[in-house]
Amino acid sequence: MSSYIDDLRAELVAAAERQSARRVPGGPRPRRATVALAFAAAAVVVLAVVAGRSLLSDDATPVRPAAPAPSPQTGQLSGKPLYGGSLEGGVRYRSLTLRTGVSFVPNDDNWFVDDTSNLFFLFLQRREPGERPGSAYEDVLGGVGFGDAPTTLYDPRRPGRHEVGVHGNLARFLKPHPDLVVSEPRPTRVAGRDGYTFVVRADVRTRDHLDRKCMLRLDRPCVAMGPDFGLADGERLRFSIVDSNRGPFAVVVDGLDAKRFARLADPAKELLSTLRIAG
Amino acid sequence: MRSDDSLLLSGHPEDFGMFYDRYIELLLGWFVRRVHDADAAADLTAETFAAALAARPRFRPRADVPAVAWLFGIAQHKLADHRRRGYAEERMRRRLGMQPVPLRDEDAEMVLMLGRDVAGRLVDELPPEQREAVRAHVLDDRDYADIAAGAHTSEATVRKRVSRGLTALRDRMEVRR
Repeated sequence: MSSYIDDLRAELVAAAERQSARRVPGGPRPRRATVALAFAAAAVVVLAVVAGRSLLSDDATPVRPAAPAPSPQTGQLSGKPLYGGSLEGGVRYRSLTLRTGVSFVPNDDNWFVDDTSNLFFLFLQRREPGERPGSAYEDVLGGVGFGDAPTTLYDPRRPGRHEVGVHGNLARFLKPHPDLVVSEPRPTRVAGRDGYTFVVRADVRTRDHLDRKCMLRLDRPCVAMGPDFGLADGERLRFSIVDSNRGPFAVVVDGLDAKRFARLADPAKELLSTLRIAG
Repeated sequence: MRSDDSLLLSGHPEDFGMFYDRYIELLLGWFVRRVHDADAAADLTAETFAAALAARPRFRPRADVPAVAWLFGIAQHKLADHRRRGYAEERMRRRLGMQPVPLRDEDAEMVLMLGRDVAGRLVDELPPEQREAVRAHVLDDRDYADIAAGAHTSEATVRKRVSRGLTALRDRMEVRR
């Protein structure tokens, strides 16, 4: 047998022995570096609340799109077609598949998009150069997401996972949640459209809504907010919900923690000042 | 032979080693076919098993989901993170205090060979329906609903075929060890 396979086995069994010897309920808190690395997954998780579906789930929970699959509505937008990868500052891009199309201009070269093929959501990740040599983009701050506002979430008033329809103001719907801190909604205007905006922060205080799948992935407490959607403890989202021809449209600024959320604010604001929404 | 579930639930260090023995080659092959790099595949495999070890206290058996699917669920997340960042993270191995395991030239050859041969060859030996289901779900990352639609059957049937196929694969790998 390969020495690599044998050596790795020996390391794992030794680690299992150490784990057995010092089993501590709850486990250690993640270090700062861990949190930074964890964001890449968290940033994608948030998309699920925008669209009511999951990117990361590997189970077979049926996906319920917010509405019957439509054709993308992007005809009235101009810009360079948006494909995956790093974006170029100063260039206007337009989404190709998002059913309510968007176009925007990144303010610099630190925006990245992984998946541009989804009908229901689009997420632009904000990565900034780190200090370590050779790790050009080690610090992921979060990102900006676009998509249909959620139509189904777990009932915030009841422990466990009871799916209910979201009607009316999303901030007021989330307000009773014991593990979320939700700001008061206030009027806003995004891409020339009126709407409302509010900030949601995950503050895990109970065990009533834990999202174990998210916790496994991120190594920190997570709140289950909807089918296959979890929000990591400390993560902050600024929702702006505006009208579109296809119903409420969400623009989300997502930061893993307070510091990253603050660092994301200016670049996100600059990018959103160039946003255009089709339909 | 002891089930995967019992190996994961026992908490005994050597039992985790036995679970590792069953799937190490399959997982190495799975990763290398996706990242096309032996070093990255080895890093991802090590990190996946480390994450599985760390998560073992939270593992709960499910009748409809074999333990190997749980392992590959972790692997899929590691792969997604790798694709986003461009490198394999080490946080679970660091958290568990594991030492880096070097990949020698002959090991790298072995990893690449696994990507070419082992999984595909073993899967090819399965009965047709199980083979197609395992290939679609485990090797090609398609979800159950998608496979069911393509095969004109129910998701439950596809799950059963994948589960039986993975059980058969595990048994065959055990025999060849």
